[in-house]
Amino acid sequence: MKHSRVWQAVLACVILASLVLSSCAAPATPTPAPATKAPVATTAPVATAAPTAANPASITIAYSGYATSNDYWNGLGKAAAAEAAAKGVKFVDLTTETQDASAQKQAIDTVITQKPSAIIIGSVDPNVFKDTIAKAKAAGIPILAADTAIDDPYISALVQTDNLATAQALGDYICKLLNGAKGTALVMAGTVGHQTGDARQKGVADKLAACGENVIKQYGDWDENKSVQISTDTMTANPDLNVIFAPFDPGAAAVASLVKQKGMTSKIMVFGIDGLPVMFKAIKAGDSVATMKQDNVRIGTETVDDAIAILNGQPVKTPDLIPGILIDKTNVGKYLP
Amino acid sequence: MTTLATRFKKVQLAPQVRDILPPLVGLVLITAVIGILAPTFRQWAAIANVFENASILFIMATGMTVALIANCLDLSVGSTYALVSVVTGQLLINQVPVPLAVLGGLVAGILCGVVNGLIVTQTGIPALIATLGTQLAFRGVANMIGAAVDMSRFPPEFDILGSGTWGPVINCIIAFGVVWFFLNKTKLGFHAFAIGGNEEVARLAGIPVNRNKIIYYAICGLMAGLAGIVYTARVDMAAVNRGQGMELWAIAGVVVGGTSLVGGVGSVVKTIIGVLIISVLQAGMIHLHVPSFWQQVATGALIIVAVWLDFLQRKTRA
Repeated sequence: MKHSRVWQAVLACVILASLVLSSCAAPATPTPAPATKAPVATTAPVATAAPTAANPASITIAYSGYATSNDYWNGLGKAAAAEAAAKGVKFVDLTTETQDASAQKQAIDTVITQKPSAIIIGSVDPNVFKDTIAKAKAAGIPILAADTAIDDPYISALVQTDNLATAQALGDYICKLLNGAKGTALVMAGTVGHQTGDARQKGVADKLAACGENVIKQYGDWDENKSVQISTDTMTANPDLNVIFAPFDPGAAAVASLVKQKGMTSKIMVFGIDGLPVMFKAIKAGDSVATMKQDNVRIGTETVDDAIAILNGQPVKTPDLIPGILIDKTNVGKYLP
Repeated sequence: MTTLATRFKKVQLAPQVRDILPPLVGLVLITAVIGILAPTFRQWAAIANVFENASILFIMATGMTVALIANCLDLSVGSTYALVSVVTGQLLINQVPVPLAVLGGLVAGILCGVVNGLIVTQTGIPALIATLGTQLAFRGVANMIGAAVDMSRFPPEFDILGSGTWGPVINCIIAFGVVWFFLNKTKLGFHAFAIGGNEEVARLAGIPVNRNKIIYYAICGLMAGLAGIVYTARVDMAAVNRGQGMELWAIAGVVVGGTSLVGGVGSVVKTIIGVLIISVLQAGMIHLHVPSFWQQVATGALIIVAVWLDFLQRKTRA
């Protein structure tokens, strides 16, 4: 009996510790990528040991994205594969089904032994590649970063969304829609400390505060249900709530559905970032106002183009910051299947 | 006067009331303090939000209550929740009628539970390890079915299951009713306490322990599945990577209410109180405009204090 109580206490402590850790854990489905720690060079670090004017048929590009189960990354990987096919180079996709930093690193370490011409990494965790990069450097294989910066001088190019500028552009758009009206805005981030979510929150929050909104900041943990929970409570606590921003489209679409259920669509405007079909449908139905589409197709395409350019000894622009595309009811039809 | 005193004494001594009193007092105190400090919390809409937001966790926690009472730890419920969500979502986007899609989802949940039960009882692998394995496996199956597929904007007759306050609350009442009846009015439910209290003694008493454990896991899977369906209807979309970490919150809700982590003791009424304590605190923090970081600290501290108080109470009684 006494032992069982001790075990009970130990098990309780383990679970509590797990809960605390899980609240700090990686996002359930983080769509995109840290915007910080990007290399500051504006042009060209041409890859070391790059062959000159390589024959496309002799080029093999290995690519490892965040996860194939993620719509955004799935689109980015497909665009990269399509561009490689169009340019006549071989493309090896190493992306795992779900985000797994350790599996990603192992896959890249393995592919280095097969000596591809270049490697493109859309990293799950950009901090785990120190020895991987050293191995690639020793083998003379250039590495490019797609969407997420990897803080290492050997990285030959970075192509990514400018999250802060994209969010600021959305903030300006919201201020224009508010047209001087004042109220409270709920501006959510992702998980605590996630740079992408933080940049998106900051971009929108700063602009809304500048145009007179009372801004409430919360963390939705990249989770639709938590975003909805926070929104319901904030709506009750702040009767003048007129804007809700979620930093990912599934969350924004879920919140838009809630706002519709409460009959508040005419009073509360809902916005997201990502550019996913779920949000396009919400915008078309009038439940949500707008989203910023990350140009994942362009990121995938340009990263492959940069890899080929580097292998041919040509300079490339880095970091190559791709702006987001505003999608509202005026242009959503173009993006719906 | 004497009659009144006698009645009061009876109420005081009733073990069911005595059991739920500490967490209930905690819930009332937390609600009262938040109500005093945050005027916006003193309105029906705020209370309705608490019930609405607690619903999914509560439904999952009812199944976890059965599992924990029978000492059948299940760490796979978060993955079952995601799997059922994508199974139901796939059926709905393929124009399967809503009742059949819901039934399909619930059957998937039950199957997950049965798989857990079979692994634990037939291989002898500890439940912690077995359900950690199935947690990964079920998540993998969910990915196979629903990765990178847009499953959203379902028919209104499905959305009503999770919409507004009444959709989720009615599902909670159903989950509560089923589990309460199972635990209190059936032989299988009675056996759950016996198995959780001492499995070997239960076996010697002629209780079919293995068969029963499979049923307890199946109920846990069923409730995780129902929670997944209510979630899918509430956010009007299905996605593969949802429910991560929910098993821990479900266990926390059950334990904060006073159900034992090592089996043999507990009730679904306690689980209601435990889940409401967590939900009231989270909502209250928003009404009080407490920064997000402090919300996490406060929730963590509350769980520790609740479990500690329960531990002390049991120690005193023993």
